Amino acid sequence: MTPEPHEHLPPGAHDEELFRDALHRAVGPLSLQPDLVPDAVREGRRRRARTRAFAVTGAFLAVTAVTLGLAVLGPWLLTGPDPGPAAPAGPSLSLPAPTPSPQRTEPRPDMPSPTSTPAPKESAAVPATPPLSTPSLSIPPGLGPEEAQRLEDFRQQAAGALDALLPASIGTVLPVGEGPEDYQGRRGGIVHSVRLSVRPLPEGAAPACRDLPEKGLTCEGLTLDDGTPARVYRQPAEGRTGTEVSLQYRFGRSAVALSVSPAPSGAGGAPVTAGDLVRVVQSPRFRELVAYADAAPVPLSGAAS
Amino acid sequence: MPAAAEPAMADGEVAAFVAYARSGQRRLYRTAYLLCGDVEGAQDLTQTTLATLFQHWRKASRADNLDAYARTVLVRTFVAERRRTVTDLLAHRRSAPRPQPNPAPGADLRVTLLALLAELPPRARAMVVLRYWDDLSVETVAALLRCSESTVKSQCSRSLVRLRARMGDVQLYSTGS
Repeated sequence: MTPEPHEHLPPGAHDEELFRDALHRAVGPLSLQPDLVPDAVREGRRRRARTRAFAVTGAFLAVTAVTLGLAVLGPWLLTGPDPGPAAPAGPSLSLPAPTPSPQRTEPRPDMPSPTSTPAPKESAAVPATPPLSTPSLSIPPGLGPEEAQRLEDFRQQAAGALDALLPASIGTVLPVGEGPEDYQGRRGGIVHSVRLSVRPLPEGAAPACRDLPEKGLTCEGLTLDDGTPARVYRQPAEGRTGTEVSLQYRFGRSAVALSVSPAPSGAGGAPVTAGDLVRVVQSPRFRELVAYADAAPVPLSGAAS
Repeated sequence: MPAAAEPAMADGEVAAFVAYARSGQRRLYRTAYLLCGDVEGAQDLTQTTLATLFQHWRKASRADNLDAYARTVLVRTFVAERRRTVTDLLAHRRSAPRPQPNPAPGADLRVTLLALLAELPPRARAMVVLRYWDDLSVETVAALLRCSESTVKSQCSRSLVRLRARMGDVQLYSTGS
């Protein structure tokens, strides 16, 4: 049967009415056989329990995370990764917190030859350091576990500081050998030798700052921002083409020397400028490292300590 | 989960929910049936809706219009589930082969209607069902589906023309199913 046209309705409204009617005719008699309520109540209870369990678990995890975070980051937060002005050296000074950059995530670089890290032997304010030992990841003999750990911590912290503070051209700085003084800056296939020495001051007056033309060594005096007198030595790097640059000064009871040697395959010249080294040693991070080593000298390695 | 971890829900609240669910499940089921197009899907959607209502019963029972609240839960659950089913959405866009409605006289009106509704995208289907089955106003449908009123008007108008063209006068004017 066809109903009478709804002439009083606007166009489209008629179709709407017809469609409504069709829907009701089609679905109106539809019955729901199973009672869905019991299952819905069970599912609802499960959801409520799950929601509460998630809330409890989330709160527990949050508290745990905060607690662990404070435990792990607490020392870092107290000292900071680059804490403002350098704190005065003192026996209570602790080693700077670990930094991610020196973490050993790749194979340890090859040990440079002992002759690759020359330091000024004459007219230098610090004593010559012992020859480099062979590369090894083992604990240096003669050191107890605590000292070995302290040495390793210092190496990692120093490498991190040097990596962050030296010019990018030096590359990634990592410790080499067993002692606290030898590092390598590696960028691509180019390897620079970096040496950091913080040793007790030798007895007697420091030798005069003078050039030694026969060795090609030059000495330049300068003053750091805090008034500390310093010297910059330049001399041809042994076995390499180029100039080794070394900055030396006194801190507390120690003589500090920071040297960078050119890469063996370098094109000559100096890998860093005196200004580069001055910026490094004047940074709070480096100063804190030196203050730590001055307060508690780090063993050179086993028997040498 | 152990029962101890369950949030406390008073017996009176459970009883109130059960009473409401028993009285309203058929109405919800019919809307769900038009949206889903099959019995199993409609039962699942209805039960999910009731479970959601139970989960949030304290809030739901304070609603001014509990039926509208339940319908909103049902439709939004349907739209969300269909949105998650990417293949289903793609099937709609591609107009994948579906059982074609048979407009011949004597064909079952319900089957024809459901097949035609199934050709609409989920949101358009929800608009048509809410507008012409639940008799909701354009404003209410727009608010429920979080879209503009003009969208509801245009979608419903387009869908109606499409349905009208596919069904034909014979079924539309037929009084029997």
